[in-house]
Amino acid sequence: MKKLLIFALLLLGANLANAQTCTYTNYTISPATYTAEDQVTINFDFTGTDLAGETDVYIWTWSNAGDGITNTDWNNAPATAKLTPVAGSPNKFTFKLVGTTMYNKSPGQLKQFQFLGKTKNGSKKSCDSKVNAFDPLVFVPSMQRIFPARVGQNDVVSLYFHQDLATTINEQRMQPVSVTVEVFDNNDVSAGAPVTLTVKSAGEKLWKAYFIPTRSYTPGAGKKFVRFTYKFNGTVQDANNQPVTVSTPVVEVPLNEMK
Amino acid sequence: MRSIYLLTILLAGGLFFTGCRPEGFEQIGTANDNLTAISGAWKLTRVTQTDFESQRKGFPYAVEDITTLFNYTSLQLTLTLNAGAPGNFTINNGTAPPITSITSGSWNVDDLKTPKAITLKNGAVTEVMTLGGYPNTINSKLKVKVTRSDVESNKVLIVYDYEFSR
Repeated sequence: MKKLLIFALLLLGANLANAQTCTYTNYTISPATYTAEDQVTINFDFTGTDLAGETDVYIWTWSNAGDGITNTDWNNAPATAKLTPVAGSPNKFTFKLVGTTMYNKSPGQLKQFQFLGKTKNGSKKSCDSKVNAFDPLVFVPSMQRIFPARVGQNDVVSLYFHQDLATTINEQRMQPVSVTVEVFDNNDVSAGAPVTLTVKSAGEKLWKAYFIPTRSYTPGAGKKFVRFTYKFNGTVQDANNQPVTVSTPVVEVPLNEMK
Repeated sequence: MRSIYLLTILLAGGLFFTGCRPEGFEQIGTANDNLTAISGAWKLTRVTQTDFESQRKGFPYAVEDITTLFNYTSLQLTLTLNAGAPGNFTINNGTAPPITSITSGSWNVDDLKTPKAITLKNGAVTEVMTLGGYPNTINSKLKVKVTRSDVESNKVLIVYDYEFSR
């Protein structure tokens, strides 16, 4: 009986933990990349969430540097936090914001932001959104980067691995061999099997590969590529001097729609 | 003293008449025919990619020469004149990645005498190339610039510089 009770408590705990960590992902932000000084439009779709069917939905938003200025009262959201319904599309809303204005911080202070949708009195709400990163206004060195920093589906994309900035032993020791790239379309469907690119040395502890999304894959009819992921692969020697394959973390890159 | 005075008057008079003599300037020649200079068949020899935002912000990685990443030198551009005016164009990509979304059609310029931009057109599709200078006897290369902007924000994100030789 005691074991059964413990088991039930564990199940309840797991369920509660899951409820705490749910993430709202059914939204897009345009443009795909932006600094804290740019105006962005968040396009919400609450279909299948607790907010489905609601006609008046409000944003509750926060950044790494503090709450949004519209977060005045959870139980009585202000009109400035109200989302704009998309005519003829139930459950769909838009909201425009500029990071520096919304969070009342300087661009240098803002790194990322999140939000959720809620009813005016807060009785219903969506899960927290993913973490959305602002493009930096000052250069921040990173182990993996692309050139140019913002690209479209038809652009030449160079992928770099700055091994001198690696922080783990495997990344520091690895002999880079290849890059695995996977491209996704606007339905978030993979464009095909991941491609493997050859890595070349581009300097001391600097490695490079390159590709053009639409040269590696062909978008389906009416489709366009909206993001890709990449990781560098290489080998390290184990204790028996045998090669072991290791990889860097997977990095996701949004693709801008270019003209 | 008197002779010095006379000599001074003579010298001043001589200078006065010499100064008034009309000078014969060389003919400056006919104006450069810039349309003819940019027309014809061109082979792509160099491609650079500029991260416009990084350049604007003074970030360290702003420009890269990408000529050797792909077989860009197999690409040929032909700008044909029709009775001295812009006519048709063709782009033979060879095995190079396309540099425009259209490969044939008509071309035009913003100013027939001193063009600053070339517009390539095929149906409803237009592509604008900004001229980097007119080919001449000293620098025979055709340099054009193509900018790529974000549709949503209209911000220029990438600039491609293409250099062609005959």
